[in-house]
Amino acid sequence: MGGLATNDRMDLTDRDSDWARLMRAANSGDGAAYRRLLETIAPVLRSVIQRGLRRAGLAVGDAEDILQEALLAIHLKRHTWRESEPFTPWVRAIARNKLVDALRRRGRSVAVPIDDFLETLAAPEDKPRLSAMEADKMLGMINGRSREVVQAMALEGLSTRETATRLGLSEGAVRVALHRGLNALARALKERER
Amino acid sequence: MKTDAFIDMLVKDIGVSLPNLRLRLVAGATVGAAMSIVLLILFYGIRPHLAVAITTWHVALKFVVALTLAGTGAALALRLARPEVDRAGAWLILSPAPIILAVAGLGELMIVPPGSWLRQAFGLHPIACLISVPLMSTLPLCGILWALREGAPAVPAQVGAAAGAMAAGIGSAIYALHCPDDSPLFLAVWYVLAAILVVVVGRAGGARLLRW
Repeated sequence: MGGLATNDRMDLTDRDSDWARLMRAANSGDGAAYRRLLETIAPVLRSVIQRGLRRAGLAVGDAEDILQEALLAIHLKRHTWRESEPFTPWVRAIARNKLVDALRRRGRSVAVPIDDFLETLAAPEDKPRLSAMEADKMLGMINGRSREVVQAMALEGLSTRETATRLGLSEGAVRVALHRGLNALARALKERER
Repeated sequence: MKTDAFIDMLVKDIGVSLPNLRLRLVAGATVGAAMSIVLLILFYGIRPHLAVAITTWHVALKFVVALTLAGTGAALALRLARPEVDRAGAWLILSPAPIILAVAGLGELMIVPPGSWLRQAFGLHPIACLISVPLMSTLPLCGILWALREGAPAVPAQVGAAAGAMAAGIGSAIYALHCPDDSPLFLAVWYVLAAILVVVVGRAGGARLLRW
């Protein structure tokens, strides 16, 4: 049985170095690698969050909302991960932070043990639910040009160039507006707690 | 909004260059320090014969301890600004400045006769020091906290306290450009009290401003 355990550990190490490799590629501008990373992490995070909610005695219906918050935090704080360090402890810390915030917001202050993060099996996304961040609510947290840009790029799925053409902006301006929009969204989600 | 679409939006945002926490920290602290130095020159004045005074070990010690605290505080803040670091061990980073000061203070106690310990410790302007060091630390602290908003600390109050230590080091070095009290005993009492005050303020500021 020792052999099996060793194999498992190997798999987990591989998984971390896989994620780290994708994140490094993303940091040097590889969008495809970044998409693959986020799509791989999301189901694992979802399952961790669902379990956290269940342990706190809450319905898992809000998991998608918290998941998107965690993904946004991973995105906006990815410069705090050092490329020489393992990636999993960092993701785990970000996810824990967002889960604890979410539980606190719901009046629960429970310790969230998510140390079994790597072993967690992916959970599929349920059918779209009302509790996932609603598009209108999300846009309501963003102002001005950033809002138009987020609407075009996130909801209508336009590319940077298409958005630039539609709104009569340079591609650089579109990128800046999208980034500001995401920062505004993160700020608004944080303020909501008060 | 579906999570797939949400991820799509994030992927479209990787063209923007990532912030560099270390550079921001240096920039924020430098701007704050520069403004504090201007205020010091305008309202306090630089002590006479600074260039000569700094060659004495008493005065040099003030700058060494202050700048060591600033540097180690910066290193600690950068560590604690990452979400996954081991926080318990991290605080040892701050130990050099207190150790240098303790050794110097003990040395001074051996050199100076016990009868004048108290006079040395109180110096000329203890209350001015207690007020001025936090004052000189305020703008650097603002710059440092501004920079650390890009961090992702597990415990914002802790990175705020580290920011306070860094700011106290900078503020102490700046006030030392003026301060005529040079005894290590004075340093060990009043500068230390002032630094603790700044750390407490930084801690409170961090808890409020560094949540993410």
